[in-house]
Amino acid sequence: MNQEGCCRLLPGMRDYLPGEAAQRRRLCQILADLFRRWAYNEVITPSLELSEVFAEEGRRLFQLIDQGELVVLRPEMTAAVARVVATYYRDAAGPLRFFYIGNVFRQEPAQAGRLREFGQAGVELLGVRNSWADAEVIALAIEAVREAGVQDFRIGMGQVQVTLGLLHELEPDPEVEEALKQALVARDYVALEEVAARYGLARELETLVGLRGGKEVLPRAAALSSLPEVALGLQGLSEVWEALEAAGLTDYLFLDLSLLRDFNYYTGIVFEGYVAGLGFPICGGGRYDQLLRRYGLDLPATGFALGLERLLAATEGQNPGGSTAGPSVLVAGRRLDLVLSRAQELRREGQVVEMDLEHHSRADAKAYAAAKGIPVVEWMD
Amino acid sequence: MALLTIALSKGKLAAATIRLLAQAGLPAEGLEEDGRRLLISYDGQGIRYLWCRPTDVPTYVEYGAADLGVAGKDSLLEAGAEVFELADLRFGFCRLVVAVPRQTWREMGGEKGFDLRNLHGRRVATKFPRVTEGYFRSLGLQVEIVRLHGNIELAPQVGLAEMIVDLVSTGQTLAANDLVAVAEVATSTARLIANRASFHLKHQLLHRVVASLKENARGENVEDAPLDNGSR
Repeated sequence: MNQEGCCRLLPGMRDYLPGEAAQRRRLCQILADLFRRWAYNEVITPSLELSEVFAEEGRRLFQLIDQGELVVLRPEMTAAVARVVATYYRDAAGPLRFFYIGNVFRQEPAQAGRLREFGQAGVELLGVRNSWADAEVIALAIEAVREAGVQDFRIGMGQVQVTLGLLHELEPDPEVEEALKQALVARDYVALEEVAARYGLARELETLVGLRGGKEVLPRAAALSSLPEVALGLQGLSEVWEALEAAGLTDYLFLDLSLLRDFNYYTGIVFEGYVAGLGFPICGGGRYDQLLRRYGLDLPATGFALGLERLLAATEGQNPGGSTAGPSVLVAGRRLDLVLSRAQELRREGQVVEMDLEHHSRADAKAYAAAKGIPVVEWMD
Repeated sequence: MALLTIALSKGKLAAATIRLLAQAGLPAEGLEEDGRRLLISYDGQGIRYLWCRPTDVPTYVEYGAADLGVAGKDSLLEAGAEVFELADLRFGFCRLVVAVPRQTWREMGGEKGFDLRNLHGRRVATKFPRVTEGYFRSLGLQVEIVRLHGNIELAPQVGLAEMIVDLVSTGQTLAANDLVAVAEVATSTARLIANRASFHLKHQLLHRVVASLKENARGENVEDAPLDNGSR
C-alpha cells in the first residue's frame, strides 16, 4: 500500500472500487424505489450546515469556521430534514413523507477504527401523532432491510415514555433516575445494578430489564404502573404490534421495554435492527415529537435511518462481485466514425458496449476481447 | 457449530476465568491457556472460546467476532468500545493509580503536603493513554502523555517521565521500584461483556449463561491490597 506522497487516506474514510461501488449503487436504487412506492419523496440537503442545526448532537462533529461562523459536516440526517420542513413546509397540511440517501460524518477518535464518513438511507414521516404512522414506519424499516437482501434480522421495539415512566415510578429522585437512564442507554448492567442495589431496587429493575419478547410483555408492563403516559404508550405499542402481526411482520419483531436510544430527542416508540453475525445495529429510529420545536414548528414526527455500510456487510457474499457486469460487445474497426456510430446503436438497445481504441486488426481485437472476457466482437469495415 | 463464541483474556485473568466457567457449568476441561491453541471449540455444548490479548477482548466483542467476552474493566475503559457490560465477575481486582518516585513525593511535601496539581504540565508514562488523559482533564490538569507498552515503572527512573499511571494489584512492583501511589484513577475487576447485536439476537441463550456466571461470581480471590502509601 502506498502511504507516501499524496496517497494517504484519512482514517475512517474509504474508497469504493468498481465492484463495491456497484453494489452500493444497487442498494441505494433498491431503497429509493421502495421508499417511493411507499409515497416518500427524496430530499437532498448539503453536507455542510451551520452547527446550530445539530445542537442536539454536541459532540463528535467535524467542525470548520466559515467566514466567522461555526460550520459542521452533518453527523446525521434527521435534523437536516427537520430544518427543510421548518423552512419550506411551515403551512403544509397533512402528513409529509421524505426520504434521503447521503453520507454523514462523525469525528471518532482515529484509532477507534470506526468509519468517520458513512452512508445513511432513511425516511421521516411528519405531521401525524398516532400509532398508524409508527406502524407504517416500522413496517417500512422491515421491508427495507428485507429488500436489501438481509433475511436473518430482528427489530427490537420499545417506547421511551413507557420506559421512563416505569423508571420514574421506581425512583422519583431525578438524579438517581438519570443515573439509571444513562446505564440503560449504554446497557451498562454493572452500573445499573450498583445504583439499584444502593436504592434497594434490584428486583424491580430486573423485572424492567426482563420486559422483552412478544406481545405477552405488554400486560406485564401495564401491571407495573398506574401512570397515564405508560398506559397510553403501551396501548400504542399494542396497536402497532397487532397491525404488524396482521401484515405478517412480527416474525421480525420483538418488544424490548428497556430500549432507550442514545439520542435524547426520542419521545415515543423507538426501534433498532440487529443482524446475525454483524456486531452493530443495522438501523434505528423512532418518534421525535419535540424536535421540530427547535426550528420553531410544533410538528410530531417519526422516522428511521439505515446504515448503508452495515447493510452491505450483512449481505456480503450474497451478491458476488458479478454486479459489475463487463461489456457484452467490443466494437472494433479501422474507422473511428463507423465504430462510434455502431457502438452508439448497440448502447441504445441496452447493451454494455466497449469501443476498441487501440487495435487495428480483427485478430488483435479478438485476442483483446478474449483476454477481457467480452463474448462478442463486431468488426466495422 | 458454535452457538456462542466467548473471548477470554490471556494472562492474569485466565486462571480465575477458567475456574468460574467450570463452576458455572460451562465447558472448561482442557481449556488451560498453553499459548498455542487460541481457538477452542466444545461442539457438544455449542461453545467456542477465543484466547485474546486482554486489551483486544473489547474489540473482538465490539465487532461481533465474539458474542461474549471476559475483560478487565481497565481494558474496557481504555478501549472505549461500544459493548454492553453485563456483569461484574468480581475477580482480578486491581487499581489504576498515579505513582511518582518516592523522592519526588517527599520533595513535594510527602505525607502532609503532596498535591497532584504540582505535576501540572509534567510527563506521565502509561499503557492507558486514553484513561490517563481523561483523568487529568477531569482535574483540570494538563500533562504530556508518553505511551509505553510495558515496564512502565522504568520510565521515571531514567527521566522519561515524572510519573506513571499503571495497574497495581499488590503494590509490590511499585515498592520494588521506589514509587509511591498518590492518586487512584479507577478500580478494576473482570467484567462480562456482550456484543450489541448478539445481546438481542441470542438473548435467551445469553441470559442463561450470564445468569449462571453471575450466580457463581461470588468475589473469589478478590485481593483487597491497600495502596502502599499516599493519599486517595
